[in-house]
Amino acid sequence: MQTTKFLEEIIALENKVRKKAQVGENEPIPVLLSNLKKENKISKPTYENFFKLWDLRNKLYSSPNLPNRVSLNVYPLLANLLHNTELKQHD
Amino acid sequence: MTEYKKFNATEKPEFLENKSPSKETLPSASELREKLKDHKILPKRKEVEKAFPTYELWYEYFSNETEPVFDVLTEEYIEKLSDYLTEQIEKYGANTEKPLVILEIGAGNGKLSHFLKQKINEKAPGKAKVIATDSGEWNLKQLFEVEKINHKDALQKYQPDITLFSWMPHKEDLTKDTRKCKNLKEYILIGESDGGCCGDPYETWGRTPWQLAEEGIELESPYEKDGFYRKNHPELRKLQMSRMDNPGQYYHSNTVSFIRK
Repeated sequence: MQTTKFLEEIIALENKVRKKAQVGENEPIPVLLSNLKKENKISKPTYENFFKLWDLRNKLYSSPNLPNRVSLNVYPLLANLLHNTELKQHD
Repeated sequence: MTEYKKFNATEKPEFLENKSPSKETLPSASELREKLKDHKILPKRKEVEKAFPTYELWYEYFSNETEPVFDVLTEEYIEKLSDYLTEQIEKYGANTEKPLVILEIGAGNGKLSHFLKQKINEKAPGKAKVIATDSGEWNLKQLFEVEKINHKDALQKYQPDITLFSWMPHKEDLTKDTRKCKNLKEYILIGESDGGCCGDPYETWGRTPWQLAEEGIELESPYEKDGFYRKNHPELRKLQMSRMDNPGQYYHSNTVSFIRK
């Protein structure tokens, strides 16, 4: 998967989590996710999978030289979270 | 017979003499992108906003192999950060005989220290000494003066009052060594905080690892243990633009002080 695409999708995922948690831009994602987990708004597997992707995202951004592609293994995980009904905003 | 003044196309008509243009027009996005290829310049925020309307263009800019960009430094950010540091000069009682020593660690291309030094010298001439240092491990292209020295030797040599670190590498923590410096009054971190891509979530930011937080365990933060308290700078944060952002949504990067109690 192209790195550009991966990072763009992570931004989309982050926006979903913020919307789910109904908070703005100031709260860090790790804190938001912990709060959602405490409130039982996301399951432990979703919580853990998100952290795996977040860790990869952090490694990429922190590097002066980003690779052109990321491992294909991340794609199913990413796709799963993006389409995850748990992350949908419930009225 | 009325005498008419000879027409001069380059001369501004009298009725416009004292009037400024109604709105400053920026160059086109592509012209701005060309301008921003010169990393020695300090752009205005609105120039950066206009230059990169899409994520692809933004990515291309910050991921440049020879000159990668982490936080985009702008006139507005440097102005505000230099205002804060000028206040700290007063707070810490620095003067021209004993200037405040501000040491940047991991200065990379030297751009941050270069422009801060200029601004601080305008606002508080001779009252601060800004030094850019970098270990050279990443072999980044130097645009301005940067002393090649590792952080421990730099701390030992300069005994700074304030240190600055922009974009501490992911899961690395240099703040522990910084806090050991007896003369140090404050250290400032720039980048994504609290479990983002800069520093270590616990060692740097004091965030209990999530596996422990799950079990209801909360650890005391290392900086508090060492006698420092945290001060966020929301006025600086809102001026920041970084590679984690999406054009139009600039909020990921932060500026945080840790001040000795």
